[in-house]
Amino acid sequence: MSAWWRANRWYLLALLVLLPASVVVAMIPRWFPYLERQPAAESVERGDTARYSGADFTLTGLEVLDGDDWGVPEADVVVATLVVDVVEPVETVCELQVVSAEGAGFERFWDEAPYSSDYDVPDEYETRCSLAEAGSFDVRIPFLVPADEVTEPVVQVTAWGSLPRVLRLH
Amino acid sequence: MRARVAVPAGVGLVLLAFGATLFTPTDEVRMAPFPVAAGIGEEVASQHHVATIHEVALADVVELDGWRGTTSGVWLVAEATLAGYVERTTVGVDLFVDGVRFESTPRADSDTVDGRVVDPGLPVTGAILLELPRDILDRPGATSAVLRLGAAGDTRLDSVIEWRIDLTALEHHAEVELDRVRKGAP
Amino acid sequence: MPVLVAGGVLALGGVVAIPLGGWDTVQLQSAVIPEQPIGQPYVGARLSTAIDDIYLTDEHPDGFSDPDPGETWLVVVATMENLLDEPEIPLGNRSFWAFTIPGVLELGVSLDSGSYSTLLQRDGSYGPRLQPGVPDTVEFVFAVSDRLFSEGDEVRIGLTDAEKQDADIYDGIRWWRPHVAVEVPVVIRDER
Repeated sequence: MSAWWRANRWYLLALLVLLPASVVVAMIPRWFPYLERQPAAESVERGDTARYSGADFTLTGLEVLDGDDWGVPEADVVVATLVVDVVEPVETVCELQVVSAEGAGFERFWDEAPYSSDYDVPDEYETRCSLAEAGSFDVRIPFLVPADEVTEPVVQVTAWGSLPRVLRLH
Repeated sequence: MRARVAVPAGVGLVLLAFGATLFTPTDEVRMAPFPVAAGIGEEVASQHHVATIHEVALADVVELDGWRGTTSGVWLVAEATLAGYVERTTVGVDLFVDGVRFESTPRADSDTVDGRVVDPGLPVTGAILLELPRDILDRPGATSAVLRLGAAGDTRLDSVIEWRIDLTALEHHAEVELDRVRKGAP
Repeated sequence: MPVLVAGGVLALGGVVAIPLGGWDTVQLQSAVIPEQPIGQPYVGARLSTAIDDIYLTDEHPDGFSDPDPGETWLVVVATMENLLDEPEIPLGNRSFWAFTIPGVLELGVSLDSGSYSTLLQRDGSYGPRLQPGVPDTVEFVFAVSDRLFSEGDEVRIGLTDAEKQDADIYDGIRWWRPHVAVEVPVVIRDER
């Protein structure tokens, strides 16, 4: 039996190399496009402006309010204020979320919650981020996050046509 | 190859090919969700939810915020606390007994804790209700029913939480009064 | 020898055809559809269905909807039991409605989604879904022209059935040849 092994050792060695190599080669057309599809966040400081999905976004306000004062004692209210200047209109709405890894150790996301607390957005602000018409407008959106868990929120802006690129304003 | 081996081997291979469809895993197996097992009273997380089921029982009639639910079968009643895990998620609940699927009732509007969205870190507590046939306790699978919690709709290849429940060991009430969904743990 | 081989191949082909459906006989359908009385259940492959009542009304069972001008509500009350392993919509769908009403609901003809609604009789909840093995009484409300039927008209409601075929390789059910299996002659009441 060992004679057979010795006689075929180079072929067996080649097999040992070629089998994993063929798996790798087969996965390449799937792996790199997958990597490219992962969300790529562009970080933007408050006051700075970034162009995204044909509009200029600037975070002008970001506060964390105690939910006890706004009818939601189990939560805090994060209020984000942005200036959105639509330069090249796109028929889309941009979605805003609050992102934070505080409290859980991994990133969690909270959606817009305009009607979930006593916080009323003043009339001079839009509560919907539509990129369909050219022009500049102010957006203010409240979010509900777990109480005392989010001290440094980040606002993520997502426009579906511009994925995987997203903006993170903080 | 010796002829004596070749012919039976050939026939054997044909039979194997003939039976290939018998051995192919069905869609039900290939597309099954990935469950996280949970016990009553235990807080468990899947990729979508953080959930605790506090109590499970059977009832003939349920009352929930003015709605009186009667049935020709029997109600499975559970009280649960649910939250999202990473992001806002929908909630869907099913019960499986001997491969038969029962879904949480659409009859109670939005007063049950399923059929809504939940957010991370913001738990809500409320009732889960399912209608089951009157003879469910006589079925062989009643001692190992599976209650599954996932995102609403399609749970194929998705992360779900499952509780194994012995329906025959549950308390059976004539009537149960339930509370509407409220924020926080019970 | 060649005859034996040819015969053997043919026999083998015939055996292989069995699981592939090649030997399924076609059922001849009788020209006369059997009748059954109101209230008697018909056990089909998907549902067991019994027609309990049929009437015209201007007051929708939901307590508030009004019919459009020139229209009225035709209400069919049926007790059904889901015989499958999955929850089911009581009325079914275009290719396999649970029952037929001449001039109102026919197999293969779609219904305008705003022109009908389904309610559970015991609590008036909309869009009930029948759980397997849990029978219940359902009210089907159809918007019809107020001149289509009148008090005392006889209507033959068709209770449908089809052959249930399970897919082998993927997960799915096909309803093969939906048809009216029995007819229930009913006299329409006018509650207007």
